[in-house]
Amino acid sequence: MNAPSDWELVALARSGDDQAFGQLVRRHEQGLIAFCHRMAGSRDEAEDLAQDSFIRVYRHLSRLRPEAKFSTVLFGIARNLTLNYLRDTKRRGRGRTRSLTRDDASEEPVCDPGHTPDSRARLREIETLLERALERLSPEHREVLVLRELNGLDYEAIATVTKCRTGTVRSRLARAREQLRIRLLELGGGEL
Amino acid sequence: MNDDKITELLSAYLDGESGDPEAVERLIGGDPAVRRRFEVLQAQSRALRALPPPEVSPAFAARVLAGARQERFRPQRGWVALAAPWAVAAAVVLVLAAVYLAIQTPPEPGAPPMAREIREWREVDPDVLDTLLLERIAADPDALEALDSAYAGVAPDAGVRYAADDPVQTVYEDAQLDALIEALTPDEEAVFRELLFAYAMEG
Repeated sequence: MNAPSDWELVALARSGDDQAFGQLVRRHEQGLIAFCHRMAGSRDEAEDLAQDSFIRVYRHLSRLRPEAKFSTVLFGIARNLTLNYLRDTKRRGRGRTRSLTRDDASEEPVCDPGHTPDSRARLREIETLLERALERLSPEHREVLVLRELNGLDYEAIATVTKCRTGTVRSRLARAREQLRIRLLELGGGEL
Repeated sequence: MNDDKITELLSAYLDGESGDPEAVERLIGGDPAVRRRFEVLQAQSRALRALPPPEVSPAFAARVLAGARQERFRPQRGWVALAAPWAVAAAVVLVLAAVYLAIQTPPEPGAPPMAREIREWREVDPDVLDTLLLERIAADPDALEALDSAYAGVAPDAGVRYAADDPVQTVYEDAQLDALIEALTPDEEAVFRELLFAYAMEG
């Protein structure tokens, strides 16, 4: 038996089936938290933002219509919340207290038996450089890059989430990649 | 062809979103510098995709569900946005504007369905629709002028831009809202409904 689609789960949740809503949450939690994490810069904040996004979906269940992919509705909400968060943080003059690098130093990359200690160290170095370079991008460049590369959304879905045209997504992604290249050079990471 | 255009072509090709992939392949094959640039884009893309996903707390879904259950018993928001002093000041100005509008516009029997729907939304979340209406108001000089009066100290032509920076500060009266909605063409109304759906989800 096929797993129910997102919109089938939405319909069940609308009729009061909390398990269906839980299934929807588990299906999207990792991608959504990853997006919020890269946008907001902190894993704790990311979980709060993702949680708030899901609750907003729940609040508006009765009004949701399957006119778009459910994931684009969800990411659209998360995007608005993270941009509000960034704006409020900036307005309060409160800089980020944590960088985009992993919050917990004990979180080492998963050891791949194919990697030597040297190559693992290099991998870790590249991860850190990338995270710092991402952090230095403008939110509008960071969001398209994250939605494309980390969440795997196509141009049309990104356009829906960011409320712009696919042509804008196309040019913005190109500029974001160029900016990332420049930031990596500035950070001494070369061109990978 | 300039560098930006080449990067855009390569970037779209990398994503499988190129309108003419064969032409991009010829471009890559015919110029070592372009090929090098494409290789850099590929390497960046691979590295980004290899970033480890965040660990999700095992209790995350349970926390969301607990929050969702609370949501069932949560009273609807209505005046939260007016809690800030600036919003109260704006409301005072708008009450005066409403009196003015009431004098200028005789009341019509029953609001049109679209307006009623929007009013329902605004009762749930008053700031949700403000951004949505900015373009419409910007295209209407009278409405723009009325709007600017709510922003003391802001240059007249900066009103909408200022509001766009902080849409929560823009508050509309129902009469003004109804007039704007009634002016929509059927096509605009269709777009408006789509936007309504999208913006209803906003924070």
